[in-house]
Amino acid sequence: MYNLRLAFKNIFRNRTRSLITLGAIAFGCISLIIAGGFMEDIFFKLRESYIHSFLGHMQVYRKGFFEKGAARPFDFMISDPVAVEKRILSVEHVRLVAPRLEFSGLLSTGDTTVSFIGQGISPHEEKELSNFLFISSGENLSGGDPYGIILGKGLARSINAKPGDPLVILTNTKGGAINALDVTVKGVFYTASKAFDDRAVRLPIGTAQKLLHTDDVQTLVVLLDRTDNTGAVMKNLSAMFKKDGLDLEIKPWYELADFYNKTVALYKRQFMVLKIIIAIVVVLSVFNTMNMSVLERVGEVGTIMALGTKKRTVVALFITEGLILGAIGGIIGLAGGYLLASVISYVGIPMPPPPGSTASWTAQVKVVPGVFLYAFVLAIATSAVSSFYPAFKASRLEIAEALRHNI
Amino acid sequence: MKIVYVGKVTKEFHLGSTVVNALRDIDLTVESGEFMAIAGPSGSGKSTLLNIIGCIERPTSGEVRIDGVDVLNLSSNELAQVRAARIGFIFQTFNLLPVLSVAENVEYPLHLKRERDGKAGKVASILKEVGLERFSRHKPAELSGGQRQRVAIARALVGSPSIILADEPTANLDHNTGTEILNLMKGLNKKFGTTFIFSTHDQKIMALADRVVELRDGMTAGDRCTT
Ligand SMILES: Nc1ncnc2c1ncn2[C@@H]1O[C@H](COP(=O)(O)OP(=O)(O)OP(=O)(O)O)[C@@H](O)[C@H]1O
Ligand SMILES: [Mg+2]
Repeated sequence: MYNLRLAFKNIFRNRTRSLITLGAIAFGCISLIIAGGFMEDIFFKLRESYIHSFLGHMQVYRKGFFEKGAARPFDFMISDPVAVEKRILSVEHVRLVAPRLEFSGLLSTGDTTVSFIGQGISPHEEKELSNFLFISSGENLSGGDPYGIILGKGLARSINAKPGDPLVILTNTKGGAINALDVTVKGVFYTASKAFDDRAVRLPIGTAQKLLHTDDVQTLVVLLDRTDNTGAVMKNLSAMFKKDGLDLEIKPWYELADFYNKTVALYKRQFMVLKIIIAIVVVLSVFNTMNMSVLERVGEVGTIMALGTKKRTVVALFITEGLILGAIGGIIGLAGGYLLASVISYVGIPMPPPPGSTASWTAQVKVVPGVFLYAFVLAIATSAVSSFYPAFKASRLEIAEALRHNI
Repeated sequence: MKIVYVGKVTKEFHLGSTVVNALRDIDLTVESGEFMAIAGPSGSGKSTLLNIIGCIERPTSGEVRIDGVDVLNLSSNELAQVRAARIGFIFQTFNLLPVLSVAENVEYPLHLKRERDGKAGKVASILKEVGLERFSRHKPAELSGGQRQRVAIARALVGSPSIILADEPTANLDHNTGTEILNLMKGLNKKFGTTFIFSTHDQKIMALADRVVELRDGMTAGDRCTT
């Protein structure tokens, strides 16, 4: 207690220097909080964007589809999808289940014919899964019109189609025969993925099933109440499928979102560099302060050692000073970081469209407890580490020699 | 009772290739309760001898016992303990900690001795003893030199050491204040029986000692009692 008080008083004997050091520590914390919070916000929005624009929180397939479905899309289908849907919906945290049936085919206006990727979807369910799918003209699919379809922006532009235009879809049925269907363009959409918008057609799943001559679907997309529940629901679903003897497999969003994973890895590496730079700034400034303060107080160190203070107590005194500096600087940094994060989030950071996307967006700075804790621990740990050498140096002074510094 | 025994102590300082013999074969015994001065010209080894008695420097050879403890075999931690428990220091430059108040400065040795109870009472009564009870909350910078040295005396005395060492305690004070300080020390010596050993150049200050040991070139050149 006495030592703590002494350390406290010593810190504030040179106010300007201590304030500058506190400033450096606080600045480090604030930078970490802002950069970390910004990054977490990007991760969060990117993740939610992927989940809600088409991935869902997890997807359920017939075993084998994920591996071999690309080459043989109709060999691994979920039969009696309605019953399976019901079973999945009975699990806690599941908000909805959306069936999908994908196929490829040709789309013709009469003049031009292009290939496309078709997604048979359930308009009602898919609305919740398409928060990041925007209609740029016309309207979205609805349950009412089985022969209305919507086109991706790039695809629509390539065949010069607009809402109201009649088109012909040509495709192979599940059995291999050729089938054609007259449809009408109801709307044009865009998503965060330009590649998707360039090729995609969406149509009601019943229509797709009719076109392919099947009652099955390939995918059941599962949406939950919260992303954090993904793991728990996956576990419950697997157990249920096993018990029911269903030959199904589950893929969570993070195994499906390759781009997300790469982005996260990249940002994290950049953030690591920032962390190191900030740690160095804090170490240097605290080291400088503690070193100066030992140099200035050689005489005092001689005095307290003459009075009977042990070497290790001298070390402890200076490290305590470093720790207090780190803690105060850290607290100022946390408060400042919180404040700045709130202001920045209120104003918003306009962001350019991510690669492969056409939609710009607004980033914020997420207040993540983990980042705050990290910044605080870093402030204290680096302060303690950087006061260690000066403290050690102080404890190694020869008492008689040190006493001569008192003039 | 022998409180200090110094036997055949020598101290050499090596400065490059030259060797300075600060002390040569010093023998000295101090009885408990003495009020003793170490005199001698500049460079004669007064500070060196006090530092060795105070366990803050080790002799090159010889024997040193404080309160019966052979201090030359102790580790630096153990020496720190001996200093905290048995020795009080008064310095020429006062050496109070500037960030602490008068009372906190005086409390320091009690904190080192890990005393828990009655610290405030001890500090108050010792401050009264040196006539500074009204200054307990002041910072050292707000005091005169003489007042600072009184605080230092209180700090040296508060832990009830067996011996107080004072290296030129009056050298930074004017003559009158110096005499006052010496008289205060002498009064405390008589009142509490604490052994005092101080060094000085000043003939008049020296005259206040009960015994004067004279050093010259690191050797004892005289040892006389004045009472
Ligand atoms: N750390 C040291 N390194 C080298 N020589 C030293 C050291 N300390 C003392 N000496 C030398 O030892 C001798 C005795 O010094 P000391 O300080 O004990 O003298 P003193 O009697 O206290 O002198 P003064 O009255 O000036 O304080 C001197 O010649 C001094 O130069
Ligand atoms: Mg001297």
